[in-house]
This record gives sequence, structure tokens and C-alpha cells, in this order.
Amino acid sequence: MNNAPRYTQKWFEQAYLACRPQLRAFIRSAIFSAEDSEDVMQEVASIAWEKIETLQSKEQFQPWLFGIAKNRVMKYCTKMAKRKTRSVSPEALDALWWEQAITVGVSQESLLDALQTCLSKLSPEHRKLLFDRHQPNVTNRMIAQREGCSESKISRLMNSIYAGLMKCIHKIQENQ
Amino acid sequence: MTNLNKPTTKLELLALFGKARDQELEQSEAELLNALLISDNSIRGLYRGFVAVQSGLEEMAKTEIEKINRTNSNMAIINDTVSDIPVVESPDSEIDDL
Repeated sequence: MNNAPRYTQKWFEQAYLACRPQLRAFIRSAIFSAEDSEDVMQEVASIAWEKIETLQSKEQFQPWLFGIAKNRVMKYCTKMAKRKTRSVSPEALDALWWEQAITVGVSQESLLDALQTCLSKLSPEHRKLLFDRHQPNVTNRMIAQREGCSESKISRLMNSIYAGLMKCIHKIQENQ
Repeated sequence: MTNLNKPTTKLELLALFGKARDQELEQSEAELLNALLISDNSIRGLYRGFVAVQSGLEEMAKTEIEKINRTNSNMAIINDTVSDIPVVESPDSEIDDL
């Protein structure tokens, strides 16, 4: 009888990394705190690796992983709701989940590729501003202080950049 | 349901989403956001698009940091290896030839 594991660690790491952008997007949509969502990502990865032998086939990896993620996120949101901490409610998470489930199976590279393309269309100043803003623990307030302007001005500017990026990504994904 | 005015423009909604991301929502704003996410699928779509951009940028920042860490650890290995190589004194004649 062959007792060799069906999935190697290397295969798991590659499969997980390929799903990571979309997994992060789903977890981040429900968990406002960047640190907490990072913790949940780590938990999901370690549970998935522990239970890897329950995965039926390699083709099922993505929905299987998102199933684990949904359970962890739901647990988190329920705990936050009990503590009356501001977060996405379990009901809103459910609504987000159904739409997420529809897009599971969509090419994993598409989001980051589209984002890269759209970023390249921004001015170098705006691109730098965005990258600086998304470094860990950087806030609009810090950027505003650095730039010598008000926080609300930076928020407005960021929001108009996000709106432009979202429009651009949507256009690319529509044409795919 | 909350007494706050429902955001009507895309930029107002993005401002609300941004407050959520920065964990700066008031309780009433969090209730409003949840109510909007449950009841309005176009707002849900916009929210998912916003989060996708945010998390994509975070993913890029994380990948960049991982790359820098890998480079630094490779540099540390190279430095350790270099420091392990015994220094051989060049003969004076070779130095003179340079």
C-alpha cells in the first residue's frame, strides 16, 4: 500500500501563494484590522496544511481553502460582534461570501496583473504616494504630515486615485 | 438602522470604506456600512472592488518586503562566507605589478 503523502509541501506552498491575493482580498473585506487579517491568513494557511490530506483533488484546492477561510473569518466576526467591536457583521459577511464564491476559480493573477497595469498609468507622484500609504502601519495622517497638508486633502486625493484604479481594473477584467 | 445620511456618491462611499479600513468608524457608521453591504449589491460590488485594490497594494508591499528580507539574508550568508575565507597576503611583487 502506498502511504506517501498525496501533496508535497512545495506543491502546497505554490498553490497557496497563487491563491493568496484573492484570499487576502476576501479576508480583508471582513476584517478591518490589517494585523488581525494577517493573523487569520496565517491561521488559514496552517489549518490548510494540517488538513491537506482531506483535500479531494488538486483542482479543488481553491474552493477548499476559501471554505476554511470563511469558517475562520465567520468565527472572528461572531467574536467581534459579541464584544460589540466594530466589524463586518456575520450577515454582511454572508452576503460578501456568496459573491466571493462566484469568483472562486477566476484567474488568480488577473487582479494583481490588472492592478499593475493600472498603477503604471498613474503619475509617478501618485504611484509613490500609494506605495508609501500601503506600507505596514502607515496612515493618511502620517502622509499628510510628511506632505505638509491636511489629512482630509490626502484622504480625498487617495479616494480619487482608488476610484480611478477601480474603474481601470474593472475595464481590464471586462475585456478579459 | 442608523440615523446617518446614506452616502450617495462614489467618493462618499469610498470615504466610508476608507474609515473602515483604518478602523476609524463610529458605531453608527459601522452599522450603516453593514446595512448597506447586506441590502445593496451595487455597494457590495464597490466595496469588494475597493478591498481588492487595498489588499492588492498590501500584497505588493508584502512581496516587496519579503524580497528585501530575502536579499538581506542572502547578503548575510555571502558576508558570512566571505568572512570565513582566509585572507591571503598578496606577495609584494604582485602589488607592485598592479
